[in-house]
Amino acid sequence: MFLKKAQYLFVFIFLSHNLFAFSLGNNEALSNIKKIELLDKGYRTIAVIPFQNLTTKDEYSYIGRTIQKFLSNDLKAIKKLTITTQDYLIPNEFQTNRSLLYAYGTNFIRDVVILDADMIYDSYIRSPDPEDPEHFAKDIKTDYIISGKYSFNSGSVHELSVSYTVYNTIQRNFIHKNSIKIHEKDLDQGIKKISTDLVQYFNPSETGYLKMVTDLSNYEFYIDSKLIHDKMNYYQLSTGTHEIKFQSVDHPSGQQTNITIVKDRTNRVEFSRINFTKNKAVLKVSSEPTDATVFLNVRSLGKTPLVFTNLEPGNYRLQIFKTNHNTYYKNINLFTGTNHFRVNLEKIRSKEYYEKRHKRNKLIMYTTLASGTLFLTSTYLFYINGTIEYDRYDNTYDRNHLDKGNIFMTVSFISALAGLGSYTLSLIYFFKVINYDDVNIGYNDKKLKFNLAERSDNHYLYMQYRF
Amino acid sequence: MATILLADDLAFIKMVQKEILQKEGYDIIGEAADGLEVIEKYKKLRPDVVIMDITMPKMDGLNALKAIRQLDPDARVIVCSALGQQQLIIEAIKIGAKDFIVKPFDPPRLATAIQKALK
Repeated sequence: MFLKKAQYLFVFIFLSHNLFAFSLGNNEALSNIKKIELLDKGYRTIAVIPFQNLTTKDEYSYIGRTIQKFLSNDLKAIKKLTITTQDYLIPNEFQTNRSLLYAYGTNFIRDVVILDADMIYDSYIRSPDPEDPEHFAKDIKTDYIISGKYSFNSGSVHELSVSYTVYNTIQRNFIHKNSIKIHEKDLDQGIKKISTDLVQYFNPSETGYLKMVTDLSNYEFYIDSKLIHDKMNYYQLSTGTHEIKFQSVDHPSGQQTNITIVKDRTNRVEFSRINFTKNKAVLKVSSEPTDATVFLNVRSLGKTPLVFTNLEPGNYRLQIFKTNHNTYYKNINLFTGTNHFRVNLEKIRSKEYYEKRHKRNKLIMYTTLASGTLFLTSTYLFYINGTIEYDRYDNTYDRNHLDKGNIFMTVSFISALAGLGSYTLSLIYFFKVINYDDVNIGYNDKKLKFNLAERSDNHYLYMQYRF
Repeated sequence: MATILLADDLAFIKMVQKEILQKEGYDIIGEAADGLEVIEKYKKLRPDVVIMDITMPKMDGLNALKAIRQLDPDARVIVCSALGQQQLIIEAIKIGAKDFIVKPFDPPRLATAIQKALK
């Protein structure tokens, strides 16, 4: 009986292991949650990208690539990291999708993968900006990016100045920056110094976990004075003391605490909630399209749709930003209670588009004017002619004149009708064009405010082209 | 395809040379980290060209060059030196070095030196 149960247990463990491996193997772009799962299990990937040449000569660019290769090899050689190479990855998958350089696979054993320098180079060619590792991270799926720059020190070719950074793609910030001077006779040792310095950030034996119990969604969160953009429950940090800060717009000083991270242990941090009082304002921002970043007095609050509570009533500067859309600016007055802002962010379009709209609107305007003039003239003629004919009919009974007058009256009547119709249609279209479909409206529960003036600069441009 | 033996005590420099030469289509058949090793490797591999640093541990580049020339009077050796070592370069040319390159390398200069040595 016991053996049978053990058999089932074994089969269950075997299946769940394979299911886990299978689910990883089919994930092209792993979510942050999945990345954290991997982090919890100790799987991390590091990409070293070619160092940037700051020397005056382009010919020395090969040094940057050599530093990349040398550093990659050196990091691989450090036993402490328990490096797993990409040999453990599924080879076919790797061959077919070279940008899919993520650590996964059924035989994946543990710890750190230094992604192969040559493969990184391919992706780097597509995104060669070491100043913007996030841009590079879009092309290659990795947890950390090591990048750097080099130049010859004070014009001497005997000494190389190398600065390097480690970028954490999950926390989306630089977790480490340093610089070093290397003499030409000390190149190997110099690079080794860099790799030794970097090891502490990747060595699983020297990290622990930070668990945030407080809901961070409406607050800014800092670890060691660095703003953490991706708010999650778990963070992996090096052992030792770290400063944790929790801040909001209305509490700029925030709450702060020091926490000691113990090796392989999860350390919990909970900040007391800030009490809401009845006299506070609540800012609700929704946008079309959603996922736009909201700034209040230049502080990032988060992404739309967003509710930010506990604000002091008063004047603020609201900015809503989304890539490829016009930025929305507005000086707002927050009242006690809920202040709701709904914003339609206009997509930035080409100059040709605005010019085309301008031409169309001009045509509508002229058509409206022309048809209005036609209507008024025809009505006037119809009236005059009718009066004359009436007089003639009364006095002369001139049949010929009467017939001619009738034709003239019919023509002017039809013309007046056509003018009226055309004028009405173009007027309707005119108002449709200046409809509030893409006008930003801000209101709160006490006052309903329409403010056409406070819109982005590009919107002004659009308005100019419109009429 | 010409075969090349690299001799430098710095792995970084050898990696740089390898990077440049492999792009040019040369075959790197061996690497040495000191003067004695380069002589041993030369005996064994008989490369078309040796690129050798002048300053190396155990035996310096000039003595290693002499030893290689004794083994093979037709040996094609390019010496590699840092800036400010002109005297050593002149001495190496006198001993029989085919050409010299100065660190940090200019990739086209390295390729030209090899082509010149192979003629």
